[in-house]
Amino acid sequence: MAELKKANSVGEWFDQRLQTTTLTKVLMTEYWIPKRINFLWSFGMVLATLFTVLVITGIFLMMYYKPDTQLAFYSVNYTIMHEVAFGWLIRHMHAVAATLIFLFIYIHMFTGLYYGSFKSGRELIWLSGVLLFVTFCAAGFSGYMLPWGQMSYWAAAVITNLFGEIPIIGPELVIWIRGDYVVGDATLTRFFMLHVFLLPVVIMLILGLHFYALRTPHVNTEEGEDCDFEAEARKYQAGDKKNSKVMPFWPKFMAEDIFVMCVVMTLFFFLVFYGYHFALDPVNAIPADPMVTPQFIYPEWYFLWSYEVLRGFFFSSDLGLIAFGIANVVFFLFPWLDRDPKVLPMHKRPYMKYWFWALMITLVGLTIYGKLPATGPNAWVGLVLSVSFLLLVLVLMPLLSSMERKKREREAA
Amino acid sequence: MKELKILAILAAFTAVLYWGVETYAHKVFYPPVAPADFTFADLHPEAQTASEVDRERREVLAMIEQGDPAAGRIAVETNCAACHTISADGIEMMSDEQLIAANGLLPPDLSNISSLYDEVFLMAFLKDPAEASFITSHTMHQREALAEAKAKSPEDSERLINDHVRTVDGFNNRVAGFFNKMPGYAWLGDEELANMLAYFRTIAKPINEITPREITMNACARCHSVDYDNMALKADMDALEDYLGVRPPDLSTMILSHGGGYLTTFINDPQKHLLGTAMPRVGLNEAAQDRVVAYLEEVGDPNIEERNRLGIWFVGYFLLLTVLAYLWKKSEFKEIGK
Ligand code: HEC
Ligand code: HEC
Ligand code: HEM
Repeated sequence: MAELKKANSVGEWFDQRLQTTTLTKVLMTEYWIPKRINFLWSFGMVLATLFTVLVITGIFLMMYYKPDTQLAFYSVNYTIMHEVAFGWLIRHMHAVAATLIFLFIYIHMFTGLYYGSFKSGRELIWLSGVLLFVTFCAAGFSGYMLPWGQMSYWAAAVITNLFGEIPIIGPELVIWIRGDYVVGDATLTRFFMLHVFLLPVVIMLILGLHFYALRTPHVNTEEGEDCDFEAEARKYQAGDKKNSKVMPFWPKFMAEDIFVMCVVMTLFFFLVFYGYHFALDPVNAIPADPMVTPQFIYPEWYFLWSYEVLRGFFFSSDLGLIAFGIANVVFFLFPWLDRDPKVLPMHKRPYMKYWFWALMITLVGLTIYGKLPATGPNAWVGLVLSVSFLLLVLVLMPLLSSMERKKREREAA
Repeated sequence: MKELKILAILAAFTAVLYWGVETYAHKVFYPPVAPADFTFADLHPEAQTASEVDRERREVLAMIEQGDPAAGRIAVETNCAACHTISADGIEMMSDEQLIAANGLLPPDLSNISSLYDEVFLMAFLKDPAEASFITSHTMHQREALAEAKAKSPEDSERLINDHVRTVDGFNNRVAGFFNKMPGYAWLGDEELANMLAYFRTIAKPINEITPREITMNACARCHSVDYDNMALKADMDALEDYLGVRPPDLSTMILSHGGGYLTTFINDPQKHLLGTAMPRVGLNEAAQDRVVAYLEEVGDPNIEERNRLGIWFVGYFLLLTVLAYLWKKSEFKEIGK
């Protein structure tokens, strides 16, 4: 170790031991972000903020929650909601953040899709992102079970039952997941473990990967243009801040992010106090009763589109299950289903721009129909939407994107 | 400008999603029903219009007005005191425990019934309790409609019936047999019944002096507990299940699970929402029923006031931060020409 001089300040003391100055440069002041981005690029930090809210409020909820089928409902609906000072506030914050985070995950994800940030060097950002999405889904599902209300119980019963349809191992798998033949105390306790320990830890690890994966390719821009980050950074550091195409993460990029975060938090607290009903299903205010099936059973809204893909093939549960399986993994394949390596935003892509909006409309349609009873004409609408979804992602995406590539190559020649 | 366009697109998609998943789905799940009817018009099958109902109601009320309370008191003591306590007049032949043991559930104290229940309803109830509390004709009509639906689309009605399995059981136990543990008194004749109701008027406290909790205790506690307010069930649960075909739920969180609007129409006429349910129409008048709903709200959702008070501060604080963050962003971006 080099000889240690006496430190003149606390900052210097730490710098000698942890190289904090270099660290700040690497992570913040000399981590370069392109300027040609819009507020959609702030959703990553918005998600990180909401995830922090979830972790903190979750810790407080855990102090009073009891993972036992006899006690769970009462501990949530009476102890936390009535007895604990501001317990209701903590619970509303947790529930609203959980719902909003899915809205923002979808926005963030489709931003990446729209601007082509999921391919050509950025595959690992996208893959780690989809992994985050899947893990968040598991966290949402396990968390929804904890209050042990009617919808907790029945959604858990219906969804875990799906695994039973898998050939050969299905029936055993269901029992393994539930820890019992039926959804019961063993199920609740293990889902509690998943929700408060394993899944959050896994999410944090994947988040680390997600952020690290951003370093080398850098974030994309609105126009998908290439940019020589080193040259632009030198220009910026030389003082030509106006003409450089990049800006540092801190303070410039974060200035925008913090503004967007504040807007979101204002909306967030408005919902927490005055509009939380959408995040706390009313049916779940009835204690779980295995003897009484609720009139309508539906999963949380963010699962509805894939649930509808499952139900869409109403004439064959095997086909439905296959389609459901595809819907759950197909996002992982997007970097390779898009056959055009050139990074362009959708509005600059002659065919894919229609594809993108068709996909969005299909997903919204699936989500809405996923909640309605699948009877009469609804079943047929569901079938059309499910088939459209599969066609869009499995056939049209590779087809249209490779047509685009050929067209561009033809025009260039 | 472009950012505003993006924002508009996000808002539009979010709004459509919200509408579909919340507003529209809710309408499909819980089709709107006719508003609560505190004139209990169906008790006057001959009356065609609202004004005719009103006239018939006024005739009944006039009869009670002219009733003889002293004769009424004697009739009540003879006919009702074996099962009901009337604490306001010192009439108590058995303790609550004994009454529950004898009846399976606690017949309500009759002291304040003329302030709590609609008197025209009470008249009909005393004549034929099952008919008045289940509106059997109306329920029968719905049952016929269900049978018709079954003939048309077996699949749909399968679901309809499944949705009501528990209530259909209750229906079979109770309504189909026109059965109510409370005996009918049509044989006493209108005049004697009017005397009784005239008597009840003389002993009842005005509604403002009866707490919402007492009203709920009187009208609901013989079938429902309210755990979160330590209101015990005034019945033997197993006997209740034999009687009703189901175990009635605790009411603590009903305001959250069903909402005030649902409760208002449901308590007024349970058959409107749950076809064939064993939950009776208890005939509370509007003022009393509003108090029951308010009570359930107070018990199930006690933080409304605190929520409204605190919310402004949180939202205001972040609004202020938003403005500051905007100004900071402006100044940071000025330097780099963004
Ligand atoms: C054999 C016992 C018995 C007798 C006698 C009896 N009742 Fe009842 N009464 C009951 C029971 C039991 C109930 C509760 C029934 C239920 O909720 O299913 C009841 C309910 C009532 C109610 C509540 C009505 C409502 O809509 O909630 C009133 C009012 C009432 N009785 C008045 C009377 C009057 C007046 C008499 C005398 C004329 C009388 N009862 C005689 C057993 C009795
Ligand atoms: C004679 C017994 C009886 C009385 C009195 C009674 N209920 Fe009920 N109630 C029931 C039964 C039985 C059910 C279950 C109905 C079913 O599942 O079909 C029920 C269900 C309910 C429900 C749930 C409805 C739903 O859609 O799930 C509410 C709310 C309710 N009662 C409120 C009240 C209130 C408020 C009162 C007093 C004003 C009251 N009940 C008086 C028997 C009663
Ligand atoms: C809660 C979970 C997530 C957090 C906290 C998070 C965070 C971030 C952050 C901070 C960024 C950089 C800034 C930005 O572009 O927003 C980013 C970029 C990105 N994320 Fe995520 N993310 C999450 C989930 C996802 C998911 C589910 C996906 C896709 C399936 C995804 C895909 C991407 C992509 C493709 C980029 C690069 C954007 C670009 O280059 O323009 N992320 N993420």
